[in-house]
Amino acid sequence: MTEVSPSRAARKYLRSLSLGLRGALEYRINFLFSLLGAVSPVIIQTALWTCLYAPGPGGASATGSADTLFGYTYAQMLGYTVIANIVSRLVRTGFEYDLNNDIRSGGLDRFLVKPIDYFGFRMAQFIGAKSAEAVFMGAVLAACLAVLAAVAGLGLSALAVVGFVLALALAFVLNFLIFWCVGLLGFWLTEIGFLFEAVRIVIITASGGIFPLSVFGERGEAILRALPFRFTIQFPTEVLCGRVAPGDVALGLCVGALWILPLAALARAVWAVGLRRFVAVGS
Amino acid sequence: MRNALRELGKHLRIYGMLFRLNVMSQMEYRANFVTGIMMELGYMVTKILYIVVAFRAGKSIAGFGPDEILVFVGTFIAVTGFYAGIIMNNFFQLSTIVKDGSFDTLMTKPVSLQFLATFRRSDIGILATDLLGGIVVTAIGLSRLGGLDALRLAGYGFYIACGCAVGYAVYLIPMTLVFRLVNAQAIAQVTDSFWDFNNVPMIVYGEAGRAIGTYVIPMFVITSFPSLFALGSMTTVQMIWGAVAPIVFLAIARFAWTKGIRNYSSASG
Repeated sequence: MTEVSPSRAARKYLRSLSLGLRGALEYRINFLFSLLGAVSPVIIQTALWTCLYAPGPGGASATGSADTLFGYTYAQMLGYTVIANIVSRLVRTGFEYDLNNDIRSGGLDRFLVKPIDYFGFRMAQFIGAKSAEAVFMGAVLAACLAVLAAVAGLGLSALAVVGFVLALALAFVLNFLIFWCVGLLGFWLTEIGFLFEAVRIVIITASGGIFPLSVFGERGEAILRALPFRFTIQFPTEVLCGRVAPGDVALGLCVGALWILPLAALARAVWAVGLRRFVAVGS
Repeated sequence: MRNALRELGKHLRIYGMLFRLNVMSQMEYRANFVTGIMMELGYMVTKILYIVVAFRAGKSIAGFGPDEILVFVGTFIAVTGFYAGIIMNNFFQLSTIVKDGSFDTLMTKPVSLQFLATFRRSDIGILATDLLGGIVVTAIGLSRLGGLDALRLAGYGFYIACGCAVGYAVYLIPMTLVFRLVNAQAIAQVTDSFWDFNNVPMIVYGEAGRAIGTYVIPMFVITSFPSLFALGSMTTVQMIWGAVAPIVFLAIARFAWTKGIRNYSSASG
């Protein structure tokens, strides 16, 4: 058996990464339009929060003082709305449809006989596609933060930016693993239909992608905080909003990183069991 | 007049047959049917989250209390059934059928091309889920507010019908660009995201936003107007515009469609 040098092994994944990057650049108009689609929820939620924070007869409520709602000031809530929507777009996957298609069509066998790990190939492609988006979205995010700082007085520290970048990297990995496990359902289900979309909506909601998790009440929030989903949207968003103390950022990153282990183990186990069921006929 | 009625009857009969065919096809692919319902339930949860926010914040939204928000969101969910279950699939597929040439086949049928292209697909699972969910949420809100008399209920139904007609027209107009661009998938995605503007009462958008959403891109006529009528908060101008807007926008949509068809040259040829 010939030993493959690490640099040669790395080269094929770099190639996959560049494939993902080129694919993302090829569909840039579509990407720009999808970005336009992200503007609507921001406008809707901003209008809603502006109304709810407006001084009126409501005054103090059960969920906060007159200045805070669900534990957020107006500036923090606007910051959360904008950042969470951008993060949600950024970590969004799509490879699960390709994975399912490969399983269903039998195309997966092409990868099984090649000297490349399928998981690594998809991961590299995902990182490639996302790095193109991240550059563009980073610029959009910077512009939004500048506006928020000027209009709503949202503060931003260098530490928060560093913490956000790390939390975002963690979010990419976790979201990839979560949707990898979801995509592997293709080994058992011949028709996926709208399942991925249904799962995505639930996960985005449980990640704090629509509203902060405190909206679900103390018990609901406690349950959702015990799951890994919040590390994909809420955690990076709160870090950038400056709502997480520096010590807690490090702790959060460690807890989030710990979630990689069970998710990776689950992905590996499901892949192994699923592969035993996989039959490629005539492909 | 008699001819028009006969044509209407004929198209309604055809629609009934198409609807039955779609139900049969959905029963064949049950996973799609079930996961479609799951997806719609997921979307419904996100809409209901707005009610949760209103209730838990314990504040009124621009003068509307949590019970009134139930009516707004409930109506929005119910009308989403019409959008997602009856028209959305057809509009999303318009680009595909123009690209792969299936649109040419539709042109040869002895019925209205616009009718066939924009109504031939429907999803009973999505329609029923939203309709049922929307009715329940609205009924809870209305019953907490003291209920509706027969006249208000009839008016509510009338403005929902007008809202559906406006929704159809407003979403069809940008899709007619498909005859020029061929690939209009991205346009469909952007216009689709506008639908959620009705998740909160139109009053939250400020004066300029309300004017645009009422008269230019009349999104608020679709579900905010029926809710406002049911809550007795509709102004006379809104009542008139709510009844006139479907005529105006259906006429614009028809014009855009016929003009688009004139520019159409088979993309598959």
